[in-house]
Amino acid sequence: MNDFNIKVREEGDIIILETSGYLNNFGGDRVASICKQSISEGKRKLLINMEATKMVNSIGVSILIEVIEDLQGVNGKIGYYNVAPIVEKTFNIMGITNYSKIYTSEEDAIEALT
Amino acid sequence: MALIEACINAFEHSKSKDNIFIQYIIDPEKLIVKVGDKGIGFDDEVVAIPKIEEKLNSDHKRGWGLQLMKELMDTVEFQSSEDGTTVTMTKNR
Repeated sequence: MNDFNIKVREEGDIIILETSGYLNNFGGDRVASICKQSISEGKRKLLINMEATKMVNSIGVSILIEVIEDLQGVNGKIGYYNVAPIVEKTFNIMGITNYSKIYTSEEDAIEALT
Repeated sequence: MALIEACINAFEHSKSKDNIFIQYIIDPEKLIVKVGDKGIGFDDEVVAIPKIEEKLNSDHKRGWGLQLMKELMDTVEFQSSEDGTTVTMTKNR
């Protein structure tokens, strides 16, 4: 059983995913599915609020690399906020912060992407 | 986090159908975690360090577990043979 959940909303031209639960392969696939759908609908700016995702594993984060790859192809951007320290460290080790950005708050993230 | 990655590696790469074992030793100076399997063995020295630049536009985006374990823990040591592998990770207080 996996209790990973996602709520999706829009702020202008930005799609915001609010995740809760463990970002493993199951959670990563769900995030990627929503992101890829948004990209296919023409969205180019994605944010993930990770306030309720305190744990990730390398498989879940690897799936985020696919999303970054897709966004690179359309000049899109993805960012994250409310990221737990261990998750931020994992993102840094895996290098995804070289191709996407962690913001301190939703306000900062939206301002940066607008 | 490192424990999760060690368990994923044990389940995925050992090719063993037996359970893995996890042992914790809580020392005043450090935490020691051992994860063992009865699989085919493992040589950590042949595992390349993953790079995000190489993962992008590659079909193989995984392969980060060992690197995460090494970066998150103070020491990571493998004892491996044809009878299985035990990884011992320590985190100093």
